[in-house]
Amino acid sequence: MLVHLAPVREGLFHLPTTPEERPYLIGGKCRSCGRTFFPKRRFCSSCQAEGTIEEVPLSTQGVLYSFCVIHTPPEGFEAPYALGYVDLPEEDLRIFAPLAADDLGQLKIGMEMELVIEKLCQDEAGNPLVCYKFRAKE
Amino acid sequence: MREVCVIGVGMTPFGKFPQRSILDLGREACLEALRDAQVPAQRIEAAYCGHARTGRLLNRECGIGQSVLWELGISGIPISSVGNFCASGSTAFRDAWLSVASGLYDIVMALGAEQLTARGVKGKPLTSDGVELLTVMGFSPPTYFAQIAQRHMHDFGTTREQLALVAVKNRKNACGNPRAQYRKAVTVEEVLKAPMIVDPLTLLSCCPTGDGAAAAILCSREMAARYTARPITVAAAVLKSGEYQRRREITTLDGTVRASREAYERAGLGPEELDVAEVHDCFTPAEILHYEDLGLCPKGEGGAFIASGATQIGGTIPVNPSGGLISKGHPLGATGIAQIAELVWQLRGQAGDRQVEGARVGLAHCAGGFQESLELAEVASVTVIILKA
Ligand SMILES: [Zn+2]
Repeated sequence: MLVHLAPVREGLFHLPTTPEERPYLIGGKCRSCGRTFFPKRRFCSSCQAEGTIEEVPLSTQGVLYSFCVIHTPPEGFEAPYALGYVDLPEEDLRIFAPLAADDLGQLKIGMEMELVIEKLCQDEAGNPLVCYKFRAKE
Repeated sequence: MREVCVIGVGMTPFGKFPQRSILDLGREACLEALRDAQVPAQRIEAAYCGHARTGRLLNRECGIGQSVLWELGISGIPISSVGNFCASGSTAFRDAWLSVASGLYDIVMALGAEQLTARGVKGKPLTSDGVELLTVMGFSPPTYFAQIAQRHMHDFGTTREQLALVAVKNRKNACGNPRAQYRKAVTVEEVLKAPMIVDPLTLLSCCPTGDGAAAAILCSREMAARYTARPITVAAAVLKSGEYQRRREITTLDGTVRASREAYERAGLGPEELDVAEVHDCFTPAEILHYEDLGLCPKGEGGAFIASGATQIGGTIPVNPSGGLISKGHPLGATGIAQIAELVWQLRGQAGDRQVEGARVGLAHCAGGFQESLELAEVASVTVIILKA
């Protein structure tokens, strides 16, 4: 089960611990000015407030803004794999994300994407690391 | 602010020189610049040295400038390291300009040196500076520029062939530049069929790694007359950093737009008055983007602009007559000052087989570095420098 695997970084996303739970990205929303950031941060660059940022789950539905398919992989990755920027209209965010699709050739700018948690790569010891991804819905 | 001139430049050939030392490369470029300016080493009052990855690759975070200049008999003066990603050398040049323009010094040196072949693990790309999380998630510089290309193709109809024309033009120009690393012409078909790195970027769409150094001597307008009858004026030297902007577009580098607008205003001229430009063609789509952001053509028309031939030598605004980063390679700290050297040679009419006839005004542009941000961020540093004959 994914919950037993190490996340690529702590604090970016919630890993479901029961079958009923859904994964989500952990954002931060400023109480003072209302802006949302990903990931959650300490200071609000918008209104320069400190201590006003609260943890919020981000929407799991997005729209693909741009993408690329990597054919010459760095260490720990298997080619081909895809990266992109995904728009979360509800939070007015455009975020970096590994992408998933049944066939990477089907990726298209403007398509609808859905948050998933999947294996991303391996660490130096060969252990799998899991990460959030956005998966093509079509 | 006082008017500042460039009176001497030097540059090593760019290439892969793992057997040489970065200090030796630096000294070669500085000595050429001193001889070109006909300035005794002891006259240099301050020096600014660009280097970006020497900490990681050579276990030297600081002090390249002091070590390079020590052996040339330049010591005791203020010497500092300038690290600013791909714009490290051009930022050193801007600091040197500021130190003379402000009246603090009369004659100074800007230098830059880098030895990327010193990297520990052969055959693997050097990961980007300071973007640890993005790198763990699979990011590398070509993945960013490939996404620029994908969105530019989607929004504006730019084609893979138009992207490839950047490499074709710059490789052709490099055939006339004995200091370029790759001096062999390539065709559109060869670019498109080269091994795929990150779609749509093939091996020939990406600048190679490399080693090298470059240097420039700057002095006040009054003092320039003592050394040369043909000083090159620094009409503007502008530095910007990337802005945090919500849901910014990936198809424009706002830093380039802001830096070039300020540079044109300070120089009192517009993009239509440029005769030649050296721009940061780290990947082919970057040059297309820079045409638009520098105001050489309208937004979205960069693909058609290169296809028109406007940016070839002999076109209305030749871009990267040196061969650009794509042909020379990109030794980060040296790149920005090598662009200055190329412009000085062009504006003096000394550029040989790649000379842009009658060039009087030239622009140099560097842009690079990534923010460790999961929200789409623009590059971290941008410089635009305008020189006039
Ligand atoms: Zn706020």
